Amino acid sequence: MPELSLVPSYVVAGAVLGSMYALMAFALVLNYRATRVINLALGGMGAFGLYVFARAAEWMPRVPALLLGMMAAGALGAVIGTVSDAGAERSSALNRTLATLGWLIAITGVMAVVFGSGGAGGEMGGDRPKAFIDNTYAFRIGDVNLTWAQVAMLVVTAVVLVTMLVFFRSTRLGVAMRAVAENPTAARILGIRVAVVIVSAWVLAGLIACIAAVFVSPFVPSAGPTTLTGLLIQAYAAALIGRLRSLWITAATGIAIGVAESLFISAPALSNVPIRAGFPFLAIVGFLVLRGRELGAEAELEAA
Amino acid sequence: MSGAPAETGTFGGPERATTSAGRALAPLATGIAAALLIAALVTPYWLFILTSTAVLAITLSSIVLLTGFVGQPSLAQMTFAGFGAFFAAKLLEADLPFPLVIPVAAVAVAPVGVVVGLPALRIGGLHLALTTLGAALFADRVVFTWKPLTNYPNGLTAVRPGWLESDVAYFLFVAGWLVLVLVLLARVRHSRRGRRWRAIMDNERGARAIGVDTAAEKLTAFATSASIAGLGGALYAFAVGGVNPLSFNMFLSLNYLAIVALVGLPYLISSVICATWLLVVPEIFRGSDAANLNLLVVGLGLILVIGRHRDGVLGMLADRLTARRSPPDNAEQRVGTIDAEAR
Repeated sequence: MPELSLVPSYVVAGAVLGSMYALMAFALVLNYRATRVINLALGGMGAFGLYVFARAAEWMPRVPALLLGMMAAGALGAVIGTVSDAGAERSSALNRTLATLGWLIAITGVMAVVFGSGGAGGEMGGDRPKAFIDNTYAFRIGDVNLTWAQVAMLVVTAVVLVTMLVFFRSTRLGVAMRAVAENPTAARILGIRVAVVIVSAWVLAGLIACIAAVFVSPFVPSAGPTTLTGLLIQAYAAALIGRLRSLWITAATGIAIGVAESLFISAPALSNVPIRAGFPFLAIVGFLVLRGRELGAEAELEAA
Repeated sequence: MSGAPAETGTFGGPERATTSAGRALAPLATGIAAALLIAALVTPYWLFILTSTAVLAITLSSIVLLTGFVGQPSLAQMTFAGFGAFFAAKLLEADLPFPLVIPVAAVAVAPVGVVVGLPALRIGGLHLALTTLGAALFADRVVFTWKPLTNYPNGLTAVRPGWLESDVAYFLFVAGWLVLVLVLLARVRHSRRGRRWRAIMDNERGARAIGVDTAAEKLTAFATSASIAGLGGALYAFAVGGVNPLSFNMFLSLNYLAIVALVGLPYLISSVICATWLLVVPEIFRGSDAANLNLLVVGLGLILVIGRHRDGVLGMLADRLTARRSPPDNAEQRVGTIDAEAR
């Protein structure tokens, strides 16, 4: 453990990073429920929204710029959702997931042309994108100094979580989305336009990915497609432990992974133990081996 | 072209008839002859490109084995290659005679494959792929940055012995390994073990019901595949004279699986086609804008093809060719055949 007085600040820093995982995990759950794929292009979609926001923010206030970025990411989601859904029944879930990697490659390529490329890594050149909220000192709770960007990340994650819970419980589209996720055939018979619902889920995923990218950008050296895709593993772990279903468990797990990472990486006593950076992944594998059979059965049903 | 060794007929689609022992010799001889011809004809620069291509083809064939033959997707194949490369460099450092270095390094990766493959006993498909990605990330961050193993961040050197020093000699050495791997894999596919693997891929419960030990078979497949990938990694280390801790990151594994899936996971020749596409084609277009389009073509191919066809481009072509001749094959009948043959 790090020096005891520092523990609270590491917990907060980890919770902020974990909120990012939670947001991306929400989007993964939406994509998975709609189309049964793990959307590897999510980092690309988020980065696209972020860069549209950053360009727009140069000549308009930040709030409309953010809306513009979200619209761009949502539109991209609509395109990907529409194309992915066509002919899906003749392929496998794995192949359709790899097809989202194709989208990631395409998005990275297009972004390199539109926004300028800093090299083969897919990160953009030039200055880091303008932040929606700067990472400056906000206030102090006990021993912990919080920055505005940290506060914003935590608040936004809570808002997105509550909005999604309300959306799935109380709106027509949200309920239709749940119906399609449970049983597409029955949903279609009941008069739900399944294709529209699926594309809507992808649009929502795009919006959330954009929000995640915009609010995480003050904390990462660069928020290009490659960096954001690197964060997808933890998000996937959170979504998986939430059984790609429960938003509450997903959110809690995402934050817990962030906190665990933060504590392990910062602990001086463990700084010579190479295992520290990899602990969260060991935890994931452990979870899968213990609880995976359940998921496996579900996956088998879904493959059929 | 380095594609020559595999264009000899044995490496066709998944539905080919059983091979006899003699049939393995023809492609073996053809492959070696083609390699000799290439070595005699091309410039040293191209020889290096083709050596790299053959090395990559070996690593990619480990993907065909695991995902195309057994249906177990893995995103840790480059991690296995990395282990192979580091083991080889370490063994050389420990003064193991060179002829033993590469085989021992390859075999030493097998336990790594078993460990990474353990989740396959509980989960499959997509979730297995992403779990192995977690393992790959763990290796990237933890194992390959561990100084005692990899001398991070400088890496290790891997100098070839005198008799392999020339580029021609090393190309022939690598080509020999490639042909050997492809011939062995083609034979495994049609062996009893290959049929058991096929049964697991097509219907795991069915395979279990007819008495296939699915756990043992899956772990065997992971171990074999890891060894082949490790072989590719070891050969890579000696091709470039060393091994860098950053050469084996998980994104490469993801891209390679995607490209092999695009061309056709069940087809052994996919490994050679993909390696050629990744290393030879960009060289041909070097300096022109077309070189940058390579990856974009892969991206578009993924979007347009494999979201719509399980077996990729080669699968689509095979469907076109066989559609007129025979009705689509019957899964029940196929399982029955495997039952009879697996006993």
